[in-house]
Amino acid sequence: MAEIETGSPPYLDPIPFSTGLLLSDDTFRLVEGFACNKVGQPETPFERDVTIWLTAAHGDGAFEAARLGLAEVRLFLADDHRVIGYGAIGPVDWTFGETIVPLWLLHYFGVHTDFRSAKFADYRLSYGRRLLGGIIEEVVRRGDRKFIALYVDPQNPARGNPETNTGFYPEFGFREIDAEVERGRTWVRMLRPL
Amino acid sequence: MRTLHTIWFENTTPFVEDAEKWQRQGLNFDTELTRIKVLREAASNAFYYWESPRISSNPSFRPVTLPEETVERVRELFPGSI
Repeated sequence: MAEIETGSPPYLDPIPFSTGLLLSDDTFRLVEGFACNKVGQPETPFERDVTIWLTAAHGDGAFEAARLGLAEVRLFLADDHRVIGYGAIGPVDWTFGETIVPLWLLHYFGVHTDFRSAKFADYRLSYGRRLLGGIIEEVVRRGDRKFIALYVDPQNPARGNPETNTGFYPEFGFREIDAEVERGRTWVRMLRPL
Repeated sequence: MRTLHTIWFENTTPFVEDAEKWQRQGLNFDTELTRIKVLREAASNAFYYWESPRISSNPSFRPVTLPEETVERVRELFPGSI
């Protein structure tokens, strides 16, 4: 398990990223109807981002990013072949002052509505935690980049509390470094060393 | 796209300069110079209105140059990492 800054591991029984099916012409049909809102609750804007990106057929979504080789998008299936969730990572270079630093970007990550409400004896066994744990372990295993980064909507509860470093992403070792405005919308940039 | 535009402009400039020089010596390059002028205007217009493909609503696919204060914050958060 990857070393993290917090005391107890934020996940148990990680789902290995490499066991996911690559999104492709052959597997794209599996994402039809994907949604990731909580059962019985309206879809939040950031849940909608995650759904739209995965299911967009042309031009501006996961399929295009995978086709262009910009992202490795993997689908995780239950035994009955329903989609549990997905993760998308890709290599990028960020410029830190005079230094170009290769890192991994967690572009998107989501758990299907049907699997978000599953109850477990230990919260660290939730599908979201197991999937993200598998992604973190995969990029640590690859060992070729210093950081993994992500962008999160400031209203997304997964952002956690930057003052106390509590909440979903902080528990996985992500720390806020700044914010960026993209087409009028603010995104918090988070970084985690590998 | 920006690079391609720059290269194309740089590649046409020497020909335009040579053609204008020979034109002053009495040779006629009106047709070629007019054509280049039209193409350069078309390329400039295309470049002006061009937008990078939007593959995601979040900026994770954009090139990133971190501001100096962010670099300092990363150094504070993760000493020795960069």
